[in-house]
Amino acid sequence: MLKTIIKKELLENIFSYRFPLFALISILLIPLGMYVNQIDHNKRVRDYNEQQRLANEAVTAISMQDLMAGTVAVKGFRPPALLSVFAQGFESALPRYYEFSQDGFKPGESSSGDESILSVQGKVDFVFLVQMVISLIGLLFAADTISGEKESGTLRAMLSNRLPRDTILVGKLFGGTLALWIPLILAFLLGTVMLLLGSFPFFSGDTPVRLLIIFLSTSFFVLIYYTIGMMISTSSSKTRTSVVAILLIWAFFQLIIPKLSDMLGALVYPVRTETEVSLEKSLLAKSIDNETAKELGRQFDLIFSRAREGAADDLASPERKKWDAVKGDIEQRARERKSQQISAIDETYRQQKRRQQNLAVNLSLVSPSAAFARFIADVCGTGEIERTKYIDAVKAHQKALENELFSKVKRTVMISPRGGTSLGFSVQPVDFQKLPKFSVAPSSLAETFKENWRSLISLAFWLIAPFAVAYVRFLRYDVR
Amino acid sequence: MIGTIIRKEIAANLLSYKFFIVILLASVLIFTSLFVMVKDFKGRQADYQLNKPKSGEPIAIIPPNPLSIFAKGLDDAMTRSFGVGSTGIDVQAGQQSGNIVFSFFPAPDFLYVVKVVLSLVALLFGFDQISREKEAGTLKLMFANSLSRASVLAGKWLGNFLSLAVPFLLVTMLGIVLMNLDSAVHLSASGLGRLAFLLATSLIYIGLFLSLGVFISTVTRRSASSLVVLLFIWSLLVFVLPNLGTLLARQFVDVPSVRSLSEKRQQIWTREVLLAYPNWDSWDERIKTMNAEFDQMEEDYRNKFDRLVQASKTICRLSPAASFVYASTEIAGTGIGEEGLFKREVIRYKNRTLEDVRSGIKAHPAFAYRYRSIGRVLAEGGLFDMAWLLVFNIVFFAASYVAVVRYDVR
Repeated sequence: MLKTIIKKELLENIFSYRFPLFALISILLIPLGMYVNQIDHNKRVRDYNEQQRLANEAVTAISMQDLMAGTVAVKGFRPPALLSVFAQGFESALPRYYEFSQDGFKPGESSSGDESILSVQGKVDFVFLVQMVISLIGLLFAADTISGEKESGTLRAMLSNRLPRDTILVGKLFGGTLALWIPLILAFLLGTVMLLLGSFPFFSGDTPVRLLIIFLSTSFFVLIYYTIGMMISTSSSKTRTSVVAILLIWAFFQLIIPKLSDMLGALVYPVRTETEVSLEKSLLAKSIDNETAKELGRQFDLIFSRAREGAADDLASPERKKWDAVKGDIEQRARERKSQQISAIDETYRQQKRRQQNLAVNLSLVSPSAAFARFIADVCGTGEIERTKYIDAVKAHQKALENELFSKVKRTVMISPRGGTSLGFSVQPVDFQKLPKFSVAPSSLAETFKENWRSLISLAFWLIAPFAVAYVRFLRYDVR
Repeated sequence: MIGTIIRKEIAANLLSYKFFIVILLASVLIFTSLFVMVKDFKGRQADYQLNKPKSGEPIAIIPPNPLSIFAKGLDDAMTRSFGVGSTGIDVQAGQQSGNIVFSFFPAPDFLYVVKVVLSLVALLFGFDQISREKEAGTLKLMFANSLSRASVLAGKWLGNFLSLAVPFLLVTMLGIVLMNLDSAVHLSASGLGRLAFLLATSLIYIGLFLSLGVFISTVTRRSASSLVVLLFIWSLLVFVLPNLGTLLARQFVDVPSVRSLSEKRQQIWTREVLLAYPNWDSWDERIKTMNAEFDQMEEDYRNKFDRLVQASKTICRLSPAASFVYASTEIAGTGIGEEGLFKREVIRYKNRTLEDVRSGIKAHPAFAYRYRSIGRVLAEGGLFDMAWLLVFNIVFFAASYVAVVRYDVR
């Protein structure tokens, strides 16, 4: 019996006037979105390769003098994520590169910088289309499943047969979702074929698995929205009422909750901007450097004031030996203090931000659509995980460069109590060819699932709860 | 007679639950958006205070535009700091205002709320104007009186437009007043004038979707099917067409990539510096030619890019939503035209500064940029986009008139 209902529901949907509209929209839109993003992606890859080459050339051109002057800045680029073709996520908001210097790292331009003119109209990717358009269509298809049959009087006829209500509900759910699913899979396949024609490296690494996950979760998402639509349909006796209710719920899930959660996050845990923090850090570094220079000057005077002429340059003199020890000690302490205080600032800032983000992310998961978007972005390597990994890689690279490059030149600034500043250098050789290379480790699928368990739970909740409500409401439904 | 119909429509709206839910939704969204964007604006203002050049530093940077709260547009790109170096302009991206976490979902400015949500609300008001009355049988009764079909249509449109526009304006103005209580946000008189234009454009845009809704409701038999058709059209106009434009334009206009630009740059550098190495006396001259050629290259790139932008604009205008975005960002001073002028001003500033360096002046004048006057904005495309929206409006209304005249009320 279930089969008959599924079949009936499927055919009814396919022959309805809205089906061709939906099919047209999805088959037109989804491959188009992928195509646009692929062109964009290819351009970014070309730019990345070129800039990488330029940056490498710049590294080989560094001289010891530059290093001594403290003007060396090395750039580390982040390769564009391959699957950003499906979900842009943070892709265009993340800095394209970070610049490393002895004072620390700072973010470069984001890729939305120059070409932002073209994105005034907003970007459309696969996830956005599913989130905004397909979800609305799913809800609309479901809007009249129960109330429509009631209005036309067929529900009564159906229920007067020996047919349990749950069978009708389940049959309608699967039949309707299937009708939505057919154009979706066509569109997805078409889009993938277009990507393949545009030399998309389909079989590299775990890309096929990721694509499969994207497709499965999209199907799941459609099922969720169809169930929500059915819940509304069983809760109202007129189709028009349910359509209005559906629009409100849609606007609430897609537009209000994601933004409201950001707002609440910012309201409950306000944080300073990145610029303010980096300014505070550089002020701190400067003041410590200044203190150290003064202290060195004082010690220098103390040690060498009663020494013979030229003792400072004589490596064997007792004063010089004492001075070397004192200097090493002061510099060591200053370094430790600096790194301790700066990492304390970093750590507090990171924690504050983390708290704010966690709140915003968790609140946004109330909406299945936000949960879906976040999950898919992580699968595509453009989500929260990638952002965290990127910044971790940047920190690690800064440390590595500090060891291999910046610490090879030690500058000693002294401010003598009698006034006057002196500058000394100690230099170790650097092999510029063998500097560490910047790279961001790609996230594994296991990590993606581990980090996204809340999104997945939210999605599961939005499948089960509306179905349960729809079931209860339908059991009590007055078919007259 | 029209007055009676208008009154009837307004009363019917006021009594329906749909009206209250929809207005509540719109108000929540508008307030949320203003709140979020004011916060964003304040963050960017704080950044500006930190990045502001000390007097004499050759850095071009402007404070964030308060109207970006309503239409963010390209304000982020315009408020970057452009430092002048010996080899050109050094764009500083350190101005990472606030949080990129929030870039996951699109910026919820007033413009976005009107573009996406209020157009949907207008459709909700329009979708059952004719078909509902037909379903209820009241259309028959109405037309049985001495009442022209045109006045029924006009009355319905005006009544619904008023019951949409008045709450919208009230809510927005309340939001603006509340926003002005915050001392960090200061809107000048001309800013308020621009805001008035922005609101006028929004009203035209909302009216357009109302007309579209009425039109579809006159050509469909059932109100449920009219709503479904409208939603399809809505998603096409608001999401699809605006993005198609850029794609198509890219096929027609070719813009050089970073690679070819950097190769050319290198060629020039090799010719002027490496090959001329021992020739020290003409050094100044050479640097000058090099800079001039770099500028020429930038100019070429800029021109090609401008052509791409123009082409994509023309194609995008097929959708009234895109037209609306162009008009309102230009009015707010965060649009494509304004950005182009700003970039040119920065280049001029750079040339002036380099001249100063050559003639030995150490203290550089501060960079200043004056936004175009609202009159110029309107003359250079703003008015065209507004008129274009009006044309859409009139076309849809005329089409619904034709459909109503032929409507079978049985």
